[in-house]
Amino acid sequence: MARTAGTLKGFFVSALLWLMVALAVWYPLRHWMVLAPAWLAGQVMAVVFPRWVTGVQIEGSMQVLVTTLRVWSADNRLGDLAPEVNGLVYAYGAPLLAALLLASRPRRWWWKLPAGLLVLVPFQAWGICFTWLLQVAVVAGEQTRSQTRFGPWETNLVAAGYQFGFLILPTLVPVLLWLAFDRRVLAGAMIEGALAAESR
Amino acid sequence: MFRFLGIFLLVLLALFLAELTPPVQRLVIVPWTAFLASVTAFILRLVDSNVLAHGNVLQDMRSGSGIIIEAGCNAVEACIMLAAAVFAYPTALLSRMAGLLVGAVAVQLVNLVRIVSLFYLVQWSVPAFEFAHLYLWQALIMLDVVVVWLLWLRWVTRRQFAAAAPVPAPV
Repeated sequence: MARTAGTLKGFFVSALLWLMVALAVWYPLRHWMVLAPAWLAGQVMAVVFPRWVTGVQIEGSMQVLVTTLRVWSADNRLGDLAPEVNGLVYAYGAPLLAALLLASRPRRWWWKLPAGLLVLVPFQAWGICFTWLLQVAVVAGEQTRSQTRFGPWETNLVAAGYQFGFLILPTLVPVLLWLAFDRRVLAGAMIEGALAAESR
Repeated sequence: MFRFLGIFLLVLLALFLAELTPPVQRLVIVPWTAFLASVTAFILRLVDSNVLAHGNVLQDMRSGSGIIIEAGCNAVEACIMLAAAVFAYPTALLSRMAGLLVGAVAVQLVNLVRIVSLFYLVQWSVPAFEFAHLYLWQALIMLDVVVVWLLWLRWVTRRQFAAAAPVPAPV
């Protein structure tokens, strides 16, 4: 059943409590929560860089990109570059979205929640892709440049894409999705403001 | 709604890309992060004389463990998102500036609580610190941004309605 939008204070307390519950459910399921974005990220990398991406290995919440890029290690051994990422650092938007939806409880929230979690997947994959690319183009850039043919422009794009995927997308997208699904809290805040002006 | 979203994304991208440029990093981000470390050290020393601060490193003298406050821990991105949301909403410039100023202070105060809590958490349990640092506090800071923006929206609407209220007719 849909719940009417409460006061902002009530919403904040409710969202806070639901966030704790959502995190408590999400964290034990973390290895499964990263499977979809890790799979999608691997597919995207294989399509965009077919010359040097050969696959993805998933170990718990860590995803390793298997490449044919030859690099020297610190102890002067030659090997294939295998950048890895903890995909979970891009996936905490899922409990945030769940907390916001469960706190405001829009109509038909029971389908909006899984639909929202699905929409988050490409944005989580963005973070995973750009973290791999950062290790390829920036961290090991000196050794991989001749193989990837990344120029300064591509390297800067990778750095900016990584920062955007790490610092902005994981928190912003759940909030935008929540606002798309339920604007009653927003409307409630404005109505409260209007009523406060009337009662002065 | 689409107009709001368009302006929001434009302002967000502009501010975020500006943040990444070397001059802004050198003149704003690095000094701000260092200032944040100093303020946190000052707060911690009020209650705990064993806290050592050097640069952006906060360390406990007893255990030797500590934290480094880096770009990304300074809540600048949260303030950028708040600024974009405030500027995308159609209202008077003065109201926007007030929202940005008060909102940024509110976000930074919560961020101070975050840093202090992480400093003590890392001494108690590294896995708990990792969980709080990487997931819990990230979500909490964003929740703070949402609530601050909604409170500002309520305040702005109240001002708009109060200004538009009909003047009582003379008797």
